Amino acid sequence: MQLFETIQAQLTAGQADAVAQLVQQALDEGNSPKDILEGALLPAMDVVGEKFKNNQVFLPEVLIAARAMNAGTNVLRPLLVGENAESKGVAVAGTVKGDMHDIGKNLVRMLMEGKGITVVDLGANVAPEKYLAAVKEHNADIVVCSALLSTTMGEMKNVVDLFEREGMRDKVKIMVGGAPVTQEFCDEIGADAYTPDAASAANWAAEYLESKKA
Amino acid sequence: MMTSHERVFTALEHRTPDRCPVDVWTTPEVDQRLEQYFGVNTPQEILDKLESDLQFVHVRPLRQEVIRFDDGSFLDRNGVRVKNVSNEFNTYQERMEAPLAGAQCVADLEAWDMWPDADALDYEHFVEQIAPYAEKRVLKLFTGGIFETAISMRGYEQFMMDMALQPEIPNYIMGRITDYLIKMVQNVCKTPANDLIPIIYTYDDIAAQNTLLCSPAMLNEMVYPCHRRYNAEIKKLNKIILFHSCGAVYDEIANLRDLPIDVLNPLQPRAKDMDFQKIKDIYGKQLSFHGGICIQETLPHGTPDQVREEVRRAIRILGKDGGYIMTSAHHMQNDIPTENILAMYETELRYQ
Repeated sequence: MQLFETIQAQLTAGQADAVAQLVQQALDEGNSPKDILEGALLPAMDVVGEKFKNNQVFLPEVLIAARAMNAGTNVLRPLLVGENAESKGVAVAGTVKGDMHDIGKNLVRMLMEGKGITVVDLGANVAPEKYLAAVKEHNADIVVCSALLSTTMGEMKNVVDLFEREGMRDKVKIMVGGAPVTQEFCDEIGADAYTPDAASAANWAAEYLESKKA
Repeated sequence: MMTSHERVFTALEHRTPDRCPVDVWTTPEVDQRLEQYFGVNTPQEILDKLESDLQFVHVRPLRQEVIRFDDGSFLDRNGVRVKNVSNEFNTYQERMEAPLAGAQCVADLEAWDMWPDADALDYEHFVEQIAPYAEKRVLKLFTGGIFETAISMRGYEQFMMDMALQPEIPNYIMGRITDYLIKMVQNVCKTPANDLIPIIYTYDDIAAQNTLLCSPAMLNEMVYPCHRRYNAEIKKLNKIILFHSCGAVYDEIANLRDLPIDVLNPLQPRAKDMDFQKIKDIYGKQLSFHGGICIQETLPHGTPDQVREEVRRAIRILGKDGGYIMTSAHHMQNDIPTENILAMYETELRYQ
């Protein structure tokens, strides 16, 4: 379908105004909000995520694409509420306590949103209790913990331990990532998934949520 | 035995010194711990104890008082509001707001009244501040980043989006910072400090752990031209350029070399493709290296023996026929045990 392809091209080029305008046009032509979201916006963001993973595009291109996707979903959002286009699942994301580096976490948020996942962004310097409260409040499926520093990655264990203590460990999958984090570290602290980049994180979350539904 | 000066310059001329030169790169908390350990009172004495061959010097601002806000935040020397944020180990300055975030066009940028001013630095007293160290160690003049400073002024995500959508904004900001740095270095070199400072330290993180921060095309079109202009002026002053970028820079080393630079720091060993043997084989004749010891895993979480092995390996590979200054691959953070720091600086490891 011609119009959806144009939307995808404008989204990957980061043209937010054009995407908003074209999404409106698609609605006017009688397309359902769900079809526009799942047939144009999300697939385009998926392409950007894959290219990012393969070093074909970089941070600037992902950021402008995510902004363009938001411009499109903002047009759709009021209409999606009534329609049967529920979220694929809910993730709670934050950079751990003592760490203010949030760009990696923000990328994960954008690429997860590009997979149709609802992401509650807790920001940076997030204490374990805040993750827990947010999971309870939003009935979240996934906790995303990010850290840039070797001096803060230990906080991830505190998050895992708190969920354990509070009897919430089985309710969520805990994902960890960030420069110093490794698979060994993930195993050692008892987290569920380590991913080396934001696109892989979004893929893991989408696959997990899919399998949970099945 | 060579002096530190002889040792460093021999290594940078790609000849084998009596032993591998070393540098010491610490956070203030580590300094405090090492001062206690050694029973000394100043970071300078720590450098003596660890037999560092180099050290940083900074030109101080003329106006010493800092603009502070009620919430404890303050303006850094680039006019960016920052606050101290502590974790279990360290306290860092983190940016709170980007002063140029609201600019819509170049005219808005021009109107900002907090652009760093190279004339607002205290050159007059600089030489007397650094003279006591210049004989003992090779001095590196800390200058500044261009890309990184611009990002702090504009805000990370906005700056990155600007690069793709309105490049005139990043170009203007980076141009102003480049002007400032050039003037600062020129001013320093007009003073007697010129004779005491052989190395100019420049930086810009262009990479993350596994990838570049922006495309090679954007680096070439926007970031490198600033460094080329800056480095051309530094080279007119006959200085050695020590350039820092964290992360996975392997694919860009040839471009960095051609900025030009003389020494590449920090060779972050766990970043993607940062294979020391390959880097030394390909670039070792044209570039020297500074750094190399892992602060992400080996130093904070390894044993002293693992640290020793990593130091030996780095000196064996990167230090072959000179061309290497051994130090940590960033400021040593306070999660590194004292015994690992002491192991890293054992003198005998420096002899091949």
